[in-house]
Amino acid sequence: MTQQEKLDGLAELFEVESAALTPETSLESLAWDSMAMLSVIAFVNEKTGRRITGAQVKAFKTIGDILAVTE
Amino acid sequence: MASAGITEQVAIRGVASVVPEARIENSTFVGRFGGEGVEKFAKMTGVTARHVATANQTASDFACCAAERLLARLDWARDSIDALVFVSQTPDYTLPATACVLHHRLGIKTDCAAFDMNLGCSGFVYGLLVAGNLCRKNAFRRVLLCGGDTITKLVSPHDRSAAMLFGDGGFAVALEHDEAAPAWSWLFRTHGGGFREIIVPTGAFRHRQGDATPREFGDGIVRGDYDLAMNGTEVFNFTISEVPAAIRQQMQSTGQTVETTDLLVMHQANAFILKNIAKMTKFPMTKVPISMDRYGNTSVTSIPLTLCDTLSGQPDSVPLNLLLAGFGVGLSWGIVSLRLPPSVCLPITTCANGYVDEVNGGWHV
Repeated sequence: MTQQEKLDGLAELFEVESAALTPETSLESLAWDSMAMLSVIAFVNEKTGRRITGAQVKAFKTIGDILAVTE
Repeated sequence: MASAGITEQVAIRGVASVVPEARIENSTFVGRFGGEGVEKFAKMTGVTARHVATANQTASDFACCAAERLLARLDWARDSIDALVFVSQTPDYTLPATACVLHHRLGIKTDCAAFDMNLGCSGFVYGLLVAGNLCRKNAFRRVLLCGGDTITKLVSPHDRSAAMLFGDGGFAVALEHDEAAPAWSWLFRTHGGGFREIIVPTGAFRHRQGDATPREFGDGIVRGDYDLAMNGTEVFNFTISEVPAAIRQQMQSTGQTVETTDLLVMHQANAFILKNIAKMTKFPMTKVPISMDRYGNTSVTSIPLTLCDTLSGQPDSVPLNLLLAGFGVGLSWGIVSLRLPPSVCLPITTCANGYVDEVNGGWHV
């Protein structure tokens, strides 16, 4: 899966245009609430089969942090 | 494999579900959690209203009402019930077993086995496993599987994650030994290491007493030691990794497909979780009924309640292929595949009364 495909997936998750997302985009500038956090857990599980913890998700600051765990 | 198998020669003759008469709209929580908080909660969990027990109602009141309706509908004599199983995490008393109280209230003969099971979200499918396997030749011919919960009584009204989620209710299922009945296939799992993820830690016997004072636990969660504590993120994590895998494994072993399955009826944990499981198992939401928008998460009652909500009123006696999936507190989960004619499901009704047990007046000799 390419980085662009991941960004497209995250754009859909955050309900923004994918052009608006870069690895530097801060999560605080998006709707980073508990539902978004759970959506990210589901996203990572779906794309990689990996299980990430709530503590890991809460520590994410940028889109790049999410991309890093899907490498 | 020991934790997967089949149950044969048992038929479900009826399913009844009953909820408290009192209905609470979650919009009444705007003052406490704010308009945006209530709206976000509804978007995520799907819950907009719930039925909530009064102070003098217990889970067995709803189960009793459901059993009465079922016995009347089936015209089953009280003397024909050979066993009564009650599944609940909110029993009437620490002891005796609530099944014994129900046995008395329903006027069932002495020649009857009665006992409780303590499970919640997975309790209905576990109840089917136990009660279904009692119905065997030369064993129990007719078994009543009852259950219910009043989780609202365990939830802090200030807990933003739980105060608007749970609803109360109870159910009864009539099971009968039938040599011609199609077999049920099942799969059961437990991750006991997750016992802390959904817990009421205080008030039983490990922690007899604690501090009831509500305190802040972060993320707007304010509760005391006697209240339900739920690690929502970890429960979500567990659910989306284990439940879809179990459903896929079950379908593989039974040979059923999304096309040949009429409905995937899941424990109504949270609509967001159900949508994720449906997506991961490739079930269209048209085959995944949701009742929690109007009833909330009713614990052990959620699967029979959803069956009654979806299937009652359909006169069809042609059996549907169902996949039932219960998962949660324990952590515990189970999947049952069975065939059920919609016509056996009764419409949901409400119950306004609580049982007067004549206990608090003093000793009974």
